[in-house]
Amino acid sequence: MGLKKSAFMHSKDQLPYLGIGLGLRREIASETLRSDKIDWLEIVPENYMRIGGHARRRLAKARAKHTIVTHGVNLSIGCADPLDQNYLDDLKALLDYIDAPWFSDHLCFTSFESDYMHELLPLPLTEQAALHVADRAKRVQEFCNRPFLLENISYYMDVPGSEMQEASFFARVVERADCGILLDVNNVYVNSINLNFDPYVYLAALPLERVVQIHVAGHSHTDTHLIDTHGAPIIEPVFELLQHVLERCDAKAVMLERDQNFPDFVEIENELDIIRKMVESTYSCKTARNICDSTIVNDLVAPL
Amino acid sequence: MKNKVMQVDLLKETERQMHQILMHQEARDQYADGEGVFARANVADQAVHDGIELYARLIANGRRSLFASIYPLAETLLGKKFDALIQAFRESNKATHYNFNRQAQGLAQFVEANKNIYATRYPFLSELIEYEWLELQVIEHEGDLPPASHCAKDHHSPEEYAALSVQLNPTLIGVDFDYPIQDLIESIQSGEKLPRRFKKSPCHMVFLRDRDDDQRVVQLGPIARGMIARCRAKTDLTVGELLVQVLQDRELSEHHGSDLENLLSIIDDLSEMQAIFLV
Repeated sequence: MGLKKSAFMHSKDQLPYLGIGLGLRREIASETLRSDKIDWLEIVPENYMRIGGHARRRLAKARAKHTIVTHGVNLSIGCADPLDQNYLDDLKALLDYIDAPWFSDHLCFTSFESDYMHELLPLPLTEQAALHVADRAKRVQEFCNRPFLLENISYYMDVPGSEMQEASFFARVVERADCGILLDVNNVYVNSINLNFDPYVYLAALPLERVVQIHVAGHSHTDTHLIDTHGAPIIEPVFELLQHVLERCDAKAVMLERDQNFPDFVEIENELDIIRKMVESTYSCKTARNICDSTIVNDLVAPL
Repeated sequence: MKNKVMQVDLLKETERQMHQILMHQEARDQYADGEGVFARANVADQAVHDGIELYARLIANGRRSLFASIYPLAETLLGKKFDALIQAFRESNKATHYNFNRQAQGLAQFVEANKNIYATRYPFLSELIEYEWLELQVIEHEGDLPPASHCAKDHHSPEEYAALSVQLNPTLIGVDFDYPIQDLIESIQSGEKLPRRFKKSPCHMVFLRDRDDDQRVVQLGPIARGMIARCRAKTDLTVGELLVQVLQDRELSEHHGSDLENLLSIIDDLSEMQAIFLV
């Protein structure tokens, strides 16, 4: 008898496969909405919640053409304050308007006592913090009435008092909350360099079956750190991590993040093409392997 | 239950310290020698100190580029002092809204409240900042304008015209300024050296977003301003009622010559600039 699937894993089975997406950003919105290389779009909900004018018009155009999901920056899921109900009400209204199949935010805190710092800040990696975040993630998922994904952030220091590895913490949160993962492979890479760990060991510790969406992006350098700027082309080690992850999970969507230092749009489309080829070849191989595996199983159980 | 409270208290204390250290320069200068999880005694790792410095820089840089994008004229005017202003503002004002831009809200009031520090050289500074904030506010205002197809194009008789409903543009914001703000803005934009002394010259400006989602800023005279005030006070006003109200306003008619022809022309102008819609 197999293990019983969780409610989230059941709902993941029902989620649509979206394909290859891009973040809808004001600076490249016209080209994004004209492009035929993009299957779906991701928006930052805080830029559209209770905002009219150009933003609303852009969203209406995008909604008419593509499936849209949201990727929030200010849910502040790890904050010790109570959840901001106004924020959740506004988010839910937006999710309903765009009919988002799922939504996501970051595993971090961004506010303290109602003061937004507008930076994704790391949490102390403790069992207590994991339980706190999981409880909130569960409530957010229930309130918004659709699958909720948490993303691994890029971070630049271990918070003192941490007592577990990030991957264990992440796994603990999503399993306890029974929510999904938005896996940012660039963040895994950036963190592995900045904090000196093996990214493949990190990935092995995650429940990859919970991955619904993948982010891939470029980053920048300072004297001391790699910074997750989404402002440069993707580098080869990040593509290698993407390949590794694709082979081990059943993601419903892969997205290129490009938020600044925008190149000619053709360059963005070329990166999308590369990602698409990787995804399609990996998934067609997996499909072929699954068919082959099921034939073997059928042969084994076929009556003589 | 007790355990749950304890775990949140511990998390809250860590977040409180991080917030203090990252948002306040003074706290950052002293944290390592203080008490708590970030104290030097608890943090042997140089990486934590580097991380704190990096986060503080990222937050400050993000804030600076945000404020500069919203207040470009104030930045031009103040030069290096702009950074000190936003740092001081942010240290004493929470960003209570989840929207990124709205952390810049309230800067004009902060400058006005501290004008002996920030507005000695430029006494109009708070008004300039208010002007730039309102430009953004109307662009992002969540109000919907009535579509052009809903608005009256022609009216066949004076009676039909008088019966049209007057709808105020929901994005419209009216503000009184003491200084000739548009002249000042033109001077700053053209790089002119501003005079040492500024003469006050009160004006009433309206900020609004039009159907193309572009912002418009227009100076209004007393009659147009009176009309806008009446439309705001009564939402289902007809053109006829608006005309009667303005004609019956003794102050307007005595001092500003509100004859019917003039009033009709002002209604046309307000309609043309999409401050009002005739439906």
